Amino acid sequence: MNYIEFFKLAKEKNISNIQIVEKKTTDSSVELINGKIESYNDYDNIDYEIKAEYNKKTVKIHTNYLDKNIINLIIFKCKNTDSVYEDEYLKNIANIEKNEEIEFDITKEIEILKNLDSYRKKYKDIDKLTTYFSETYSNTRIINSNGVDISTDSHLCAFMIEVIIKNKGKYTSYDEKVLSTDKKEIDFEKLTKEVIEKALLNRHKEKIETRKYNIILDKRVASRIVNSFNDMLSASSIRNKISCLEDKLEKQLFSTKLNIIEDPTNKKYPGYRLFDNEGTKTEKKSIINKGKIKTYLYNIKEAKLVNKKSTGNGYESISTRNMYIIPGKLSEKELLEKLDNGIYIADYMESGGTSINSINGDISLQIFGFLVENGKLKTGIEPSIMTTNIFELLTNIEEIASNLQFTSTISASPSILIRDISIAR
Amino acid sequence: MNKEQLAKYLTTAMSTGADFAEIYYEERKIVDYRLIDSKLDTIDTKNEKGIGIRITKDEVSYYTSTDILTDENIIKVINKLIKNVNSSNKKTISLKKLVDKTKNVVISHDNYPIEKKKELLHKIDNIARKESKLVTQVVGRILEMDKNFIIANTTGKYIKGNNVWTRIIASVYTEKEAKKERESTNIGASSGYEILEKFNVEEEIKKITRTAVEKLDAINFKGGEMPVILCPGFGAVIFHEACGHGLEATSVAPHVSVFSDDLEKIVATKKVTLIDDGTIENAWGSSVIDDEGNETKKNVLIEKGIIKNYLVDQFNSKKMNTKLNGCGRRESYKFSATSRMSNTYLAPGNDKVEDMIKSIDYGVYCESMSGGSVNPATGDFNFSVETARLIEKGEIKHLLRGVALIGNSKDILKQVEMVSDDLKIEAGFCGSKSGTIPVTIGQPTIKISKILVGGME
Repeated sequence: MNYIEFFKLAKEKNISNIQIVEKKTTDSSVELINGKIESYNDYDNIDYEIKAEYNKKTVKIHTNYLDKNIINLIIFKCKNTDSVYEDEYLKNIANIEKNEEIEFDITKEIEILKNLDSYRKKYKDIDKLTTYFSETYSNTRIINSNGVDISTDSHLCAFMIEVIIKNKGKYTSYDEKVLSTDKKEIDFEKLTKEVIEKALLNRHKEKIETRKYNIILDKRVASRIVNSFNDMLSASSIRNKISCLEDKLEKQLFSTKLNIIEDPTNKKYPGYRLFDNEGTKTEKKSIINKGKIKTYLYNIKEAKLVNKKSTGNGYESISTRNMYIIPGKLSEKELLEKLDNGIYIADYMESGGTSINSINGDISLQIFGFLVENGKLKTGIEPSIMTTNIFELLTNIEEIASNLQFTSTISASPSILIRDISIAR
Repeated sequence: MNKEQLAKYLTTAMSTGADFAEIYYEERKIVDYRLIDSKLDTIDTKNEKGIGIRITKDEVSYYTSTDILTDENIIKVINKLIKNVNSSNKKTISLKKLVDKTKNVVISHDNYPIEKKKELLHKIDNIARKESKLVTQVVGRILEMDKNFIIANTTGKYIKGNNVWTRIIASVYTEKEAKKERESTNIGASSGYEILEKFNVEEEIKKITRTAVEKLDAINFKGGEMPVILCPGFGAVIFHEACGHGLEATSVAPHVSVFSDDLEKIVATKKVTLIDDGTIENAWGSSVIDDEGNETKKNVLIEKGIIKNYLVDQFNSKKMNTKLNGCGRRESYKFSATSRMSNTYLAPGNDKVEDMIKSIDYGVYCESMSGGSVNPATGDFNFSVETARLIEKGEIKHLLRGVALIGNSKDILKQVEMVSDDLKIEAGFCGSKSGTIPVTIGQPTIKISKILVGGME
């Protein structure tokens, strides 16, 4: 069923407003182990997020096909949910011409990945070198019963590498990931060399004692911390009293060195979007300024409930795109020198999404990293647990590096130097 | 999707000389009823249908999926996929008679009235709010998932199946003097609403409410290595993470599991017998056939500390030159099936819980656990403890804040010192290469003699 037929059927069933977000995604990815292809995947999919109004109630539906059952589902949901709010449907917006779809294949990148195996062969301790590359094109289009038809697209490439070392019967690993809107900007060889260097350093691990340390959170670990603000600052979590940041606007919660912004309008960043899934125009905005929260994150529904305007964060759930900590001036090397002695937290592993508790801010995260002595990485550390909470962690910030790097479309961060954080081992 | 179409697509998939091809066609529906603030706030729904096509050549898997189900598009995506293979070995495919492995459901999701679903959610809300004035929020959810699928492959296999899952989840939030806490419970089954016969709403909700209140007074403590007791049920996430993933062929076949070369070797104490059983009637992780069309099985993975079997899917069985054992699973047509756990549990032992507690001078008693994760290549794993108490001089004491456990698979399996007989199995989700799928994990009460505990100091 095409859109015209679907809108016509909806009107016949007294559905007064209807808006469809169509998301088309084409993706190719490959995984290689020791230079040989392990798996190759193509993905060519379409998803619809439908917002519709019936009897002055609005509901949302996710589907990948349009037919009369979907119309019946809209009516069923409107009849049975208790939540009532008057939603907004786009109108009077100039239609944007749909961009030409980007066609790609990843044959060249497969060859690059195969050739990276020559680095593994140089080191007898490397047991496995796993590489992964993906290229994704997606187009988001909003079309509605008011005649609106707008679209925004994105093109993303991801490269991941993991080096597994076998040393005296024990296995250790080190990995990195980069995300770029232009595959020419990915330096495959440089990243491979860096990962191998750190993996080899990580062969020997020291057991550290349980106490407070001065630490550096590597950019990807810090990015995960920034990501946790999605839940904590969601207007839905605030309204439902399930966030530790309820009633915390404009209060001095964190270090004055902490500034977080969201910038979905920057085309070079991977989370680039002209508008959110509700058609609200995105804009660059301050989330945390000098340690004070400037805004919660709203979609149209949550904004309406408190008489505010959407902040352009209405995706499948309330979420950000390109939210990041504003970088400082120190290079990674200078940040290490500033730390002098402590722990460099290079990576983390979560416990099924509960390691950072958005209800009370507690953080209990398995960490991997290196011991730093006299401003240099000395040796790996045995896997340990960082136990703190979001308030302590971001209040104790000493310095922020300049090395902002995106590994997700949602959030990013440079590396951060933080004092006095508990690490258990 | 009819037999002729499927045969045509398989023939196209084999036209550049693949060794094997498989088609997985699926229609699925997810409905998530969510009560919050004493109102049925949302009914989230997801309706999907689509097709996944896999070809294999020389031990490499190539997969494509699409939900644009026109003949023209399906042929287009297959043609794009088969460019990866270039051999003269073409084959025309014909399919055998359809085998129907559809499971009957007693009370289907559509046949259980919406009014009763609402009544259940409001009941959860009422019980929790009556139990304590410190309750600030109650979230009640009912999750319904239905899927129907057809599998056809180049061996002539042509089979259809289904699965139906129902899960009830409740979370109670409390607050006192600016401190906030939460406690949750859930029950899940691969069945319809007959699941309710096993759910004592009153008892469960009162219990988690009391814990959510008690957690407000939880005390910080200094972490470190110490003995722990894991209560029955979700504590088995330790086995799921510590060795379950490492015994899946998806890691074993390419030798990226720490257990890749350990078949018939001692990896754990004699107390450890670990079973994965996809056949347990109506269990959340069960199914009649797996997502490659093979019958599910009861597989003993570790017997008295010795690895006896890996979990082997169809593709990896060829790679490993071993028999498959019905564990090829996937979230949906968007993923290629691979070896995954179903209902994984530690077999009961003979030790007494009171003896375990008495034997500990300083340690942690873990009452309820949440998620975990593992790197199968190194064996490093972790999991979060929702509710933990201090054990001091053989006695269980107050609740502790922010407890997490970490370890390494090969080390921890040798620290399983005592195993009780009170086996309990609980429902959860597991995310891995082939997506997020329903699994159960289970164990009796166990004592781990030493593990790293992280705590809030």
